Amino acid sequence: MTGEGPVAYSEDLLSAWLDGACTDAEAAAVEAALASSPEARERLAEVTSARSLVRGLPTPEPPPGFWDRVVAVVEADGASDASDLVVADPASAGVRLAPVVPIGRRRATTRWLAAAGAAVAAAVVAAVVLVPQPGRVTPPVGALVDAHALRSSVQSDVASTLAPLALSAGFHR
Amino acid sequence: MTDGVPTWEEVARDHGRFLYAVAFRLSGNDDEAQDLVQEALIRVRRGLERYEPGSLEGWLARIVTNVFLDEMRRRKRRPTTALPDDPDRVLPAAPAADEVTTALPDDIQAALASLPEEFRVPVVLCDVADQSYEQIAATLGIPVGTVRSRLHRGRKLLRELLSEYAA
Amino acid sequence: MRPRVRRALGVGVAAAVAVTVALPATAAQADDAVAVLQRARTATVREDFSGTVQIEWLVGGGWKSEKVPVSATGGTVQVGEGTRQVEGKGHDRWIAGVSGWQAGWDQPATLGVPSPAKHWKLSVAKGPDVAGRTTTVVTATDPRTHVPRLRESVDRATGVLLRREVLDRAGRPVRAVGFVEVQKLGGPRSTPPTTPARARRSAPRAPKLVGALPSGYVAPRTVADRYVLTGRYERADGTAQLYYTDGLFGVSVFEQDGDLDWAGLPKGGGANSVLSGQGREYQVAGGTVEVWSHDGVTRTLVSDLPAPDLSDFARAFDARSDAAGGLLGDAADFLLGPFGWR
Repeated sequence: MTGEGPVAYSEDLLSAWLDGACTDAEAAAVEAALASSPEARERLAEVTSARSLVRGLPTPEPPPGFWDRVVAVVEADGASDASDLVVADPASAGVRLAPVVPIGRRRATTRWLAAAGAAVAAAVVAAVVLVPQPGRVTPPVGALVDAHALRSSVQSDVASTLAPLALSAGFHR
Repeated sequence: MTDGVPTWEEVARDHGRFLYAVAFRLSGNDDEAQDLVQEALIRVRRGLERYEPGSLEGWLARIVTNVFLDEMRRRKRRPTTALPDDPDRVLPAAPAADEVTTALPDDIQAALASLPEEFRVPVVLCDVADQSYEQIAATLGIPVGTVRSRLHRGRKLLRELLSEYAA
Repeated sequence: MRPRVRRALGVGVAAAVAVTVALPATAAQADDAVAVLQRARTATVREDFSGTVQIEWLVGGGWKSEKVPVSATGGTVQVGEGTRQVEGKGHDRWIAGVSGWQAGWDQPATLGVPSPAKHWKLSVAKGPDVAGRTTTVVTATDPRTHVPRLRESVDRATGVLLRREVLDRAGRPVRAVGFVEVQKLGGPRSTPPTTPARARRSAPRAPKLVGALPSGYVAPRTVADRYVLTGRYERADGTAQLYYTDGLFGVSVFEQDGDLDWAGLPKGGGANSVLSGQGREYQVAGGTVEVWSHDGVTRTLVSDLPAPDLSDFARAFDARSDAAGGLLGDAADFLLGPFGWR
C-alpha cells in the first residue's frame, strides 16, 4: 500500500496492532499514541491481558466416548441420505416425546410412499426430508417445588421455608 | 484423501480436537459442543465435494461458527444478562474466600461464555481458532473494521470480568 | 407522633426494637422493619427450638393444611420425620428419602439481594400471639394500592420467625406458614446433634451454581422492575434454575428447552393463561406453581406469591426475555460474570 497518508489513532487499533493486523501507517499511529498517552497504554495492557488469557487456555478435552457418539450420529445421517424407494411411515411424523435434554435436536427422516403399483417404478421419487423435531419436555414439578424451597431457605427463614419439603407435594415423583 | 480433499472421517480424525476446541469455547459446555461438532461434520461431509483445498482449518472454523450462529438464531435468545450492583443490599457481604489471584481456565471459560455472541465469536475465532481478521470478516459477513472493534470490545469486557484476578 | 420506646428484650439478645404502639410507617420504621426481618433470617443459627409448623393454603375456594415437626439445635435445622426429612446447616441441605440422604443444596447465599424497603412500605407493630409467644409483626404494604400483602410475626424475645402470612390483592390471607406450638425457645443452647457423615450420592447432585447458563438461555437481570436475579443454577437433569427476589418474595424460574408435554403434567391444577401459551397452575404446600411454554421453552415458576402476582411475573419475564433477543444489544444490558457470586 504505497502512498498511504498518516491515519488517526483509534482505540480499536490497539487490538489489531497486537494481532499484527494493521497497516504500517496504522501501526505508526498506535506507537505514537502509546508513547504519549497513559490511557492508551492502560487499554493496551487490558487487551493484552485478555488476549493472552484466552490464548493460554489449554486445548479442551472432550469427555470419554465423545467421538464414538459423534461419528455414530454423522454416519447415521449419511445412511439416511440413501436414494431409495421407501415407504411412508406415519408413525415417524408428528411429535415425539423426548426425555428432558437441554440441548439438541432430533433428526427424523420422513419417507414418502410412491403410488402403489408397477407404474411407480417409472415415477419413483426418492425424496428424503430432514425434519428437525424439537423434543417435548415434562417438568418434574414436584422436584422443582422442592428445589425452590431449598434455594429460598438459604436467604429466608430456614425452618418455615424447608417445612413443605417434608411433605409430599401431592405429585407423583 | 483424493486431490487434496479429505474424507469427513479424516477431518474428524485429524482436526477433531480443533473442531471441539472452537465448539467448546463458543458454547461453554460439553453437550452443546457435541451437538455443534456433530452438525459441523454433517455439513463437512455434504460440503466436501465443493471444497477447494486452501485453509482447511479456516473452512472448518467457518462451518462451526455458522452452526453455532444458526443455533443462536433459531433460539432467538442471548446469554445471561447483567447483575446490578445494588447499593440497597441487605445481606452482609460473603466472607472473603481464600484469595485466588490467578484466573483458572474454568473462570476464563465462564467469562467467555458470559460475553454476548457478537463479541464472543470474534474473540474465539481470533484467539482460539487463530483466524485472520479477513477470515473472521468473511465468516461473519461483516467488514474488517467491525471485526476490529468487536474483538477489541470483547477483550476489554473479558478483562473487566476477570478483574478480580491478577493479570 | 408518639415517641418510640426502646426496650431491652430478653436475656442474651442484642439490642432489638420493640414497638408498643402502632405507628404510621416512616423511614425509621422501614429501617426497623428491615432489621427485624434481617434478624429473623438468621435466627435459627442463634436460637434453639422445637415445635410444629402448620402450612395452610387456599386452593379452589377451600383451605388445605399440613403439619410438620421442626427443630433447630446449635444451628442445625431439622424438618419432618420418618421417610421425609430435611436437614439444614449453614447453606448445606440434606434430604432423606427411601434411598438414603442426598445433597439437596450446597451453595451459599448470594449478594445483590434488594432491600425489602425498596419496593414495599414496611411497618412494625405489636403482633398477635403465635404459639403462645408474644410477637412483633412486620407488615409489607403495596405502596401503590395501600393494601397489605405480607405479614411476618417474629418472636419478640428471640427474633425467630413464627408466622408468615401472604395476602392477596384484597388483603385477604391466601397462605400461611407458622408455628402452632413451640418449646425451648429462648432457652439455653444445646450442643448440635452429631450428624453422621452423609454419604454423597452421585445422582441427583445438588444444583450447581453457574456464572453463565448454557449458551442460549436468557436470564433477565430484573423482572417487572422489582425482582432481581440473585442466582443461576444448573440442575443435574440439565434444567436451568433462576432465582429472583424483591427482598420479600422469592421466585424460581425453571427453564427447559422444548415445548411442554401437557400429558406429562401432574393431575389437578387449574388452567391459567400466561402470555401467548395456555398455562397450568397449581397451589401446593410449597407455593404457587405455574407451568407454560413460550417460544420453544418450557418454564415452571414456583413462589409463595399468590397466583395473579406470579402470572404478572411470568408475563413480565416473557416480555423481558423477548426484548433481549436479537444480536445487537446494549452492552449495559449484559453480563457480569460468576465473580459476583463470591
